Amino acid sequence: MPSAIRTVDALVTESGLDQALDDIGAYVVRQRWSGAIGRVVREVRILDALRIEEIETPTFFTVTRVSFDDGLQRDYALPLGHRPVGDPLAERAPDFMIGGLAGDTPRFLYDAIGDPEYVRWLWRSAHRELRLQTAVAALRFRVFDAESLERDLDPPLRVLGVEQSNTSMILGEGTFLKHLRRVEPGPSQELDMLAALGRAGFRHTAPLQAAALYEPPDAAPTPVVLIQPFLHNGTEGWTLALTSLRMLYAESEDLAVALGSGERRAAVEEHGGVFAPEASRLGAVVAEMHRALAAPDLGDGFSPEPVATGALRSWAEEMTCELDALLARPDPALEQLRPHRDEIAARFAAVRSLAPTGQRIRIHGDLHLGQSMRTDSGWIILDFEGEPDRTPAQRRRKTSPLIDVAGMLRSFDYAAAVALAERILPQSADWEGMLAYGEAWAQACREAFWASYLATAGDSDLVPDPAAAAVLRRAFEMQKAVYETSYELGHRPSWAAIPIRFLLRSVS
Amino acid sequence: MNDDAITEMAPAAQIEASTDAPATEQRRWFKHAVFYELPVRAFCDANDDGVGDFQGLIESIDYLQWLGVDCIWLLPFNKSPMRDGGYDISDHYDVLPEYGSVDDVRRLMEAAHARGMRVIMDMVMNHTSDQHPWFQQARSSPDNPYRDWYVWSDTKNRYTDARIIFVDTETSNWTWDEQAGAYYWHRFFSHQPDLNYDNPQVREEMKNVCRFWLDLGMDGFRLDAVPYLFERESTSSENLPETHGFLADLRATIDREYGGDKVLLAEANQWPEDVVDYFGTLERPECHMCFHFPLMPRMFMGLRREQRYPITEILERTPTIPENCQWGLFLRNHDELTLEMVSDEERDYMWQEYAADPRMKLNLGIRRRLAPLLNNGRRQMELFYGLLLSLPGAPILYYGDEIGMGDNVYLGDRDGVRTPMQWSEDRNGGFSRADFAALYMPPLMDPVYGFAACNVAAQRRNESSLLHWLRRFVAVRKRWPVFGAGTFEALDAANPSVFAFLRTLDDHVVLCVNNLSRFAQPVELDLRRFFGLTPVEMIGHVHFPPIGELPYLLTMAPHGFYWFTLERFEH
Repeated sequence: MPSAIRTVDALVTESGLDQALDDIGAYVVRQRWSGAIGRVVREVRILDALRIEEIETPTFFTVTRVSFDDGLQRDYALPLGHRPVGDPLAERAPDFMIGGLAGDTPRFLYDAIGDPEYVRWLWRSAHRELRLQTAVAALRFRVFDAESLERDLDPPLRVLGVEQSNTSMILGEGTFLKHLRRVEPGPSQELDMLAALGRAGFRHTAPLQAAALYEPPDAAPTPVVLIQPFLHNGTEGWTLALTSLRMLYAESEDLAVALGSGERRAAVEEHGGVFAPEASRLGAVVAEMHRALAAPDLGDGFSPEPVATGALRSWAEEMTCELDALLARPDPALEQLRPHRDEIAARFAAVRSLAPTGQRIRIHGDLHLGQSMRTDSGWIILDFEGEPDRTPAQRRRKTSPLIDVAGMLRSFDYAAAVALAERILPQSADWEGMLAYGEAWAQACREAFWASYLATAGDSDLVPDPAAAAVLRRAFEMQKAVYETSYELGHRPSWAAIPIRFLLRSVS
Repeated sequence: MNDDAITEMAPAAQIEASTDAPATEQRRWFKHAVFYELPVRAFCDANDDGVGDFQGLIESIDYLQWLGVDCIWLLPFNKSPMRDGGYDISDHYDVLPEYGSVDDVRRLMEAAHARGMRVIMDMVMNHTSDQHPWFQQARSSPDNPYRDWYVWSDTKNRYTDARIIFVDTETSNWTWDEQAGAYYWHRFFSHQPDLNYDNPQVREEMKNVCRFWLDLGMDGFRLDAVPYLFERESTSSENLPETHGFLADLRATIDREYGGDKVLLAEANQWPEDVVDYFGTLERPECHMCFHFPLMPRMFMGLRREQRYPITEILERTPTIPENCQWGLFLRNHDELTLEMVSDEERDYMWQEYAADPRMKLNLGIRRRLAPLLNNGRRQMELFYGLLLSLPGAPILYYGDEIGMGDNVYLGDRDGVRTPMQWSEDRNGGFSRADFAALYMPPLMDPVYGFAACNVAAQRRNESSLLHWLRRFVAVRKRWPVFGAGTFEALDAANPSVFAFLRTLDDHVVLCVNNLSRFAQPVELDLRRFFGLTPVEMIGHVHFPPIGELPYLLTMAPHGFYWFTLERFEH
């Protein structure tokens, strides 16, 4: 194959991509998947490239490194193509346009994920399990479950959405294709987790059917495309929760008098969209997931380990460090939190003195309502990439399953506030009174989720005894809220009130 | 819109009901029919004795034809001590005298058939009244020839794995009979001994009962409580192979002797997976129709939670059925909102909403009519009727619900939803000219649901009434065979409050979109496979924008719904 013998630079120059590096950098920092929105680009370099001969118009698979002026650098899987100006693709996929290329005939450069030809090429290559030599490495397609793979090689497709780290689409009626964007060294968390859950027979996820792996010469293969069955008639847990809350808030507006907390709770339980039963079923599914991940025979890197005193100590230390790092920020929004530093730290310190019970396992790592989907066959857990801001090594480490639980519990709190913010401004006089309903809603959901989580985790060694589990869970929730506060102050300062409010409530 | 407007139609994609032998399609009339369930007692009193009768029904049959009813389902009218709404029969070959005579039934059949309508009757197969001469004979002596027509035992420790159905009134499925000196078996009330289907004489006699009514012109039977015909040790004594064997035999007999267009509708209050067995197979059919019990409470739950999952979940779990079969769908019937089929948690949830009043909480269900269950909300009622008429199955209307009648929870047991039909604002609601005190039950007289406010005559005069609205939608449904015979496919929608689905028959596609929420809702549907087709709203024939490559956007009014036929127009 001619492309294999060319150097990257030759390929880049020959194809004219070298003219467009600035445009590429500007395009990348506009994308949510870059994790670098608003950063200043210092340099863009195409590290590796493959000219895709099967596609008539010039199309390339590239791994592109973007360096930012704050020292951060990231590698992205970025397929690129260019076509003469006037080609209808420009109009059909405006979101994927990158810039122009000068030359005899002016051409435009685009992100090839917006080009159905490229996506269908991925799909065909997966079916054929191709292994293609790139300039410096290889791109390898693997099928994990040939039985269930849809056979149509030329399916209609539809872009579904652009998520934090990927772009996803539906092929035909039944296939979900996720194009990952970040190329990270080391084995893939998502691939590992899906494979392990498959081996453990966990049914509440979308199993991996095929993948494209980028194989650098000196590192573990990293996935760039994941192919899974598309979950029909699904709704994200987050959307479903907001639907429930909308009804609650509409009804609470009708309640003329401010109710006491008991009556509020009754109002939550009697309102039409009551969500606690869903939360309860979700809790059971999360516990089943953890039981699956704690299975003894999942192989490398999965075998559960007992929680030792050392783990408790390091969790407590990490929590306290993160708290102090947060409070060290000069932000005035933190003033109300500062007087309670010691009370919060005391909750963290309590973790240290727990008797060491329960297990450390591989966990989802970024579990919240947005990673769950309600389908006709119950709740499905998705997106096993782990928390985007963590390093791959951090995402792979074994830790307490209660971190996942804490993530989901915090998510109910967030939903209550976000749904209210759809209705009224946080400055509004009604905010506190209405949010009290939302918090009663979240509390009912949290209790239902936790009760059924514990009941399903049941007799396994997974979870510490109930008293210790409650202390640990609460501490992880507070740690999560500390992280959220820090994140919100940096990104959406007006939202910081949500986790701060939780932290204050936790110690009052 | 006036009533005439519904008779004209732009039939671009309308297809003929049948492509193959008309005879086959003739035999499948039930797939397209609209059923109407009524108790003779409550419908119309012609002889002024305070109790509805067959003559009254005959005199009001034109109303049912006007509404668009294809088949009347008569609740039990056989001779009975009436301790269980007539499900306790004491003579299968006779009619309760207050209702009329066998000859009156024959005249009803003639009146119905003259109008192209059909009639089916309730057939209680499983048990009789303890007043039935068969049981009186059976209990009289161990040597009596009828002894073996029922199930006897010296001990209560047999068939102990069978659950007790009427948990509020019964403590055991065995009751001691002093006269017989033995326990007798009953799955329902203790005054309803179960027949012994292991006895070939019983099986043959029940076939004879069917023959008697079919000879009179009856078009079929609603088979009461079919899962319980046989008993076997160490089983739940429900859905046994022997029971299916008898039903297949009954079907074959009726098909052979009566030409194949009679219908059997099974009441099997079970999960859909188990219910499908009552259809049998193409080679060995059992019943033509079965009720889809779990769907109905889930529709109420979907409305309550304003999301589609309670509904789509149960439809997803509903197996496909042979093509010559049909589900029977209902919003309400004479019994309770059936909660047997839902989990404990969901049952608690339904109770919380609909039955804070303990009077309504009897057995496992709730006895309320459609209108009170929906707080008399017109839009909600329309949405529910829209679903009833468009989901896969044959719709079964319950008398009085077409005008939004209410119920009387103080009447006890199931009587609360069996009050007299409200025909007009006249005395006794036009049901009877008898003295008020002589009525079998007082009609509703409250200011919202009472006959002064809610009656057929007033609603027939008012073209925007629920009655006229329903009649229009019944007519539309009947005009399009896709509703009766088409396949069903739920569509994806990111908005969980919107329940969208396709019905497809050959190349004709109907799109139904329902908003379960009290709020206006947007929805985007992926309809690209219908690129270039134009959705035409089926009531007003309004042409919507053609389907393109982008998601198809619809704006749904609160509790609103649309039916579209997807048509191709040459431009």
